[in-house]
Amino acid sequence: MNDPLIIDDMERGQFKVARRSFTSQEIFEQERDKIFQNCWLYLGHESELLEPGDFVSRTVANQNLLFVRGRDNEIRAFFNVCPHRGATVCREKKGKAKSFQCMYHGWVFKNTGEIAHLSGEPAYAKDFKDEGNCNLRALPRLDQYAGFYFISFKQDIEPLPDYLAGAKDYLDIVANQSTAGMEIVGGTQEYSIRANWKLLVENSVDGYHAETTHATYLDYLMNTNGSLSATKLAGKGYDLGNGHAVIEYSAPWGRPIAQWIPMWGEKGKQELDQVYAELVERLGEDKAKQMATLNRNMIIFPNLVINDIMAITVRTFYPTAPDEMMINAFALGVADESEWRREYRLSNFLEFIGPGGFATPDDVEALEHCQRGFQAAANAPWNDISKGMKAKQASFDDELQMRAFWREWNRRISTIEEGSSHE
Amino acid sequence: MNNIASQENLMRFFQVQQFLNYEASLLDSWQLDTWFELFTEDGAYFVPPTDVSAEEADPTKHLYYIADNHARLQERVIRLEKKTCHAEFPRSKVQHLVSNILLLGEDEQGRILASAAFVIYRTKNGQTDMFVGNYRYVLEERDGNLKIARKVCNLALDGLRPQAKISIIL
Repeated sequence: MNDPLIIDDMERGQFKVARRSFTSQEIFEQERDKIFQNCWLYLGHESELLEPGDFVSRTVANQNLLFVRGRDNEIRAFFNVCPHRGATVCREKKGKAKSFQCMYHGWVFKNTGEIAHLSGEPAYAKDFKDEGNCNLRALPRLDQYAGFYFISFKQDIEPLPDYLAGAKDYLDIVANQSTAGMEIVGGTQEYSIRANWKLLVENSVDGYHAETTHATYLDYLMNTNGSLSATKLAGKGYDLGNGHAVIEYSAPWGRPIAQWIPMWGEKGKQELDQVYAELVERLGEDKAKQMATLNRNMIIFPNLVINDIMAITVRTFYPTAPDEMMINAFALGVADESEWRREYRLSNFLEFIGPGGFATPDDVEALEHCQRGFQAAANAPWNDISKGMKAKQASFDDELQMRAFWREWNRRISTIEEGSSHE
Repeated sequence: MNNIASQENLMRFFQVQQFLNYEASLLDSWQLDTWFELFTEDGAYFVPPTDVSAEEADPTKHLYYIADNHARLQERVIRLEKKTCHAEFPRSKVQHLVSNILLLGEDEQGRILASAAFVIYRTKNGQTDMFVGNYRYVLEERDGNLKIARKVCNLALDGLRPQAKISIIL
């Protein structure tokens, strides 16, 4: 473990990542302890829990969690694990419930997490419930920013706004697209890729691969009458601090917020013009233009991607092995948008981003072939992430955003923790 | 049921069965242009999400895996025939198994409603993935031949784990 995992040579303009970072079981375990146990991780969006009793059960970094709005209207996050003997308490993916009953011995919990019924209670000590040991265990930390809820398994962690650093401004851009707010659209794309999770981090903010990996998608846009505006692919990459990064760029595809394409017709143009006018009035010309016409691919360290491109995807993932990850991808839309706008948003989303789209399957192919390539890590040990390293301002198709991620990753992985058995 | 009616039903069933098996054979042999011609001019192809029930799922309201109108379906076929369709270059080996065919009656336009079960194996790079679920077809008879007006593939899966993607035609 003494060999470096990254080489960060500003003078020579070279940035390398050791390929064993993607294959080593030891590094995978360190990531679990030093990254996933120690960071703020995305759990869900406020729009998923609109009314008291609404719940979503979700796996975050391999742990089953319950995200629920209680009868007191407060949003909480619990380990979805019975305090009694450890069974999963809520086995439904989502719904509305006043209480949750564990199927094993029948303990019942209010939707605020407190024990409501302890079966066979007379056989327990009188004060057995008093210390809260019978309640669902809450996550050590839960906080939200702009409607995005994050949890942390670590009690003693910096406040979420500090952690998010420069990413806050970009979350605002996603959250403020309408005064009615944003909502997660029903239907989750749940998939896995046989590749290391960091390959998807890189791929999600990679402006360099589009022309080759996604050649058929770009062909498709050109073939389809009215799918393109005259806008060129051009833009910049920014390091947002704490391992977060974004690329922001113009692109020719339609954006259902307010970048019109001919396919959407005159009526669509009128509606998007109105949307744009509202944005200008509310946010000013500069912000409105940025929000409506520029695309953003953002990584929030370690495992949240929010891509506001031809549609908005909220994508989160976690590793189950060095060479396997689980992915959940959601579509985010403007809560009060018209039916046709919602329809085009979903259409835009699935034709590019999804596992059945014209682009994501090719990303999967690329990532899985990288993972195969890394089998030669002992003899061909380094990945190169140097593009644009000497540039004063990185372009959207440089690799600055990946270097920002890797530097933070390396800083955390290289930390020797107290009581750590790994070093 | 009299004999003539049951004979007609039998003929219809046989016709649908032959048609679905023929469609599967075109997909397995990558004759996608010919397959695309099986669709009516407004034919559409859907793969709904796995966390919304088949009855409830609506492509204008829910995020589907695939929701191709006729134009996008044609583009899907064009894409699948390119070398730059990396996920399917080199092409995977595909085997459809179609079974449990059930005639469900006709819609108000006299089109045939049918369902069937599928298991599809896709092998590439030494890895075999399986897709399992059921089809819902709306079929139209034109000059004695069947055409697909609508094909919905309801996956009986919890997401695409480990398949990752649907790069073939289901």
